[in-house]
Amino acid sequence: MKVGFYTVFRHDPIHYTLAARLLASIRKHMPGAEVWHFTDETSPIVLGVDEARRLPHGKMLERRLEHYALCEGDWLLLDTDVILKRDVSDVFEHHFDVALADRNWPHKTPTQEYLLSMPFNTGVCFSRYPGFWADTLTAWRALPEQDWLSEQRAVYQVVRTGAFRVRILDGMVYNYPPKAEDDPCEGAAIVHYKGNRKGWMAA
Amino acid sequence: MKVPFSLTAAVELEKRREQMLSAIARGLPRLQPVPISDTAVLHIACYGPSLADTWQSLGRPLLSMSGATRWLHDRGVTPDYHIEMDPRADKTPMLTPPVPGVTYLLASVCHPSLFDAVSEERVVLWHVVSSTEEEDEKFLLEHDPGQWQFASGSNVGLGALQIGGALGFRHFEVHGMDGSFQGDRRHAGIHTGKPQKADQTWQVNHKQWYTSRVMANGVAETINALRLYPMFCVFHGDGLTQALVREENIPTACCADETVKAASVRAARAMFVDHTQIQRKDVKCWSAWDAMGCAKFRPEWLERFLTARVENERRRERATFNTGSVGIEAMLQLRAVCEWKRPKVAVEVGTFIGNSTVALEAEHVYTCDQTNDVFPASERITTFPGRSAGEMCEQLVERKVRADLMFIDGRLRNREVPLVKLAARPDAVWIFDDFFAGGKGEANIKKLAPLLPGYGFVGPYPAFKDRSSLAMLVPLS
Repeated sequence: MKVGFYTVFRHDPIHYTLAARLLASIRKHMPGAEVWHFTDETSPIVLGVDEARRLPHGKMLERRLEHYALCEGDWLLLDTDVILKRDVSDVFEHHFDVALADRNWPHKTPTQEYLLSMPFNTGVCFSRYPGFWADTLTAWRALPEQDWLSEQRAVYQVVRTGAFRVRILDGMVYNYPPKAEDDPCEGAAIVHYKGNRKGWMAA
Repeated sequence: MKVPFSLTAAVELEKRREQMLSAIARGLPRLQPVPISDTAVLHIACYGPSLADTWQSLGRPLLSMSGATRWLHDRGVTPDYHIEMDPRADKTPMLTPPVPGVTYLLASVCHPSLFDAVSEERVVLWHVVSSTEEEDEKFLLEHDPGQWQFASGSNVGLGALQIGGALGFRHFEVHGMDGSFQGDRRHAGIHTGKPQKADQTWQVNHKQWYTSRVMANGVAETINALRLYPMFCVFHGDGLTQALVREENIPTACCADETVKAASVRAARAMFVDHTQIQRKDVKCWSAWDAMGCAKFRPEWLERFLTARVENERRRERATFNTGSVGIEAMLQLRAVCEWKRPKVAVEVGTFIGNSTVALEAEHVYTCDQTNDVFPASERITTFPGRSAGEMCEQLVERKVRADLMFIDGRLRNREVPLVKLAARPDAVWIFDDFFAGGKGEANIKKLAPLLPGYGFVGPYPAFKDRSSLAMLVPLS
């Protein structure tokens, strides 16, 4: 299994600090995994990864999807603000093209807009078939607004086509946003320090 | 802050141009910017509902707008100026009859009926950017050459801040700039404009504010203006804008009830530093740090520092006294300021494992550490292991070495402060770590600042929030 994360350096190095923590958690819980850093032409490579892939500079979301669309085989695709709490390679024992985590977090109820247009957060994606990401890229490029959440809207559009086998994972286990800095995150396999929580992970 | 909604102008461009031509033809005096005073204060009365709660603390000179001028006059307060920039005719009834003694600052896009209504009073004309700056520039070059145009933002409250600058002010006491409804009220009194619905909500610190799309845009623009422009604003009253000012913790703006910060904002002075041109898209949150090199960090710096940190971390096990080291953010800041300042000599207090030493780019670096000796000297770096700041600086002064840049990451004793100061050139930049309440950075700045007249203080870099506690004293000239 391979693990991939995308980060580039524009101004704030926080994602490098986060990526180092993510990498340490992967080495601890899935020492056999091959870790890739997807990035652009000039950003430094995160120390300690096994491989790096560079694509030319461009819009971050577009480049990330382009990287994902090159991932053949079993890949765990993660945001950098994510920590593994245990080995999750058993997810690949199931049949799917892509497995996504839902937003059913009782402590962070998603808004109507999120539920209707982007019910899956893409911070954690188990991927087997790059065609899903190729279609997501096409859908994203056609969106009238390409804001920060547009990738998730594009993902849901492709999910709804029914063209791919999509497994839905429990967000409380596979994409858990901590309630507080000292949240023990019990039961969570993957913790996602999304949004303002990044500071907790970087501390 | 993202401006949330994409909206179209209330009056189409062709009509606005027509109105501009009509105004230009009236032969009115034009607004001419005057030099900005660092101490004078302009009081601004916007027309939000909270004006009714705070109007009695308004001072002078006073600039008001919309229905606030009549509203205040009815209460015995006659503003000095009234500003208007709405092109619609429905604003005219609020200015009819005009208030005697007020100077009306009317944008040329205003409806002709507005000019007619105040024609007996003193009127000064100004041009607001109506479409794009380039298109308006072309229009004015043709129809009113040599005159200024002002980019005001989407509402007259924002326009008041810009015109306030033209009037020579940088300090503002702002009343009634709420950006939200109070119950079903959008204004302190009667307003003859098109009613808006409170169909948007905005949560700030667990409180839900009701606003409209137009107002929400104005609120976001206000926060951005506060971050981008060299002005100091104290906001009175309670509304969405004030709540966001409080939450965003902007160094140059606050609410009036934040009494300690308000005193500091009112006493603050703008400091201007020469810098090479910075693209606006490179800067998310403007700060003096950006002007001094931090707008553009180079990827090769990050690459070098990531590797250096791993190497330096191995030195920690040999340290006599294990303490903290600067983060990667602080290393980038130090390197960036060195890129801007180009120091021949950098002096550092507090070597430890050498993360900050590595980040100081100078022809030569002198560094001391009273308790640890784990970082090696080199051709470019002279170390003073086991030596205090005073001991190192005494030797540097004897050798006639003077620093262009001082980095202090250790607590200075009172008796060594004069020696440390002697080791710096008169135009040196001083950077301090651990600037927070009770931290050694705060203590060191308090000791050194009285010895550095003509220096300005720069607080921690907002872009890095609480991940870097570096602060600076920089020469103002």
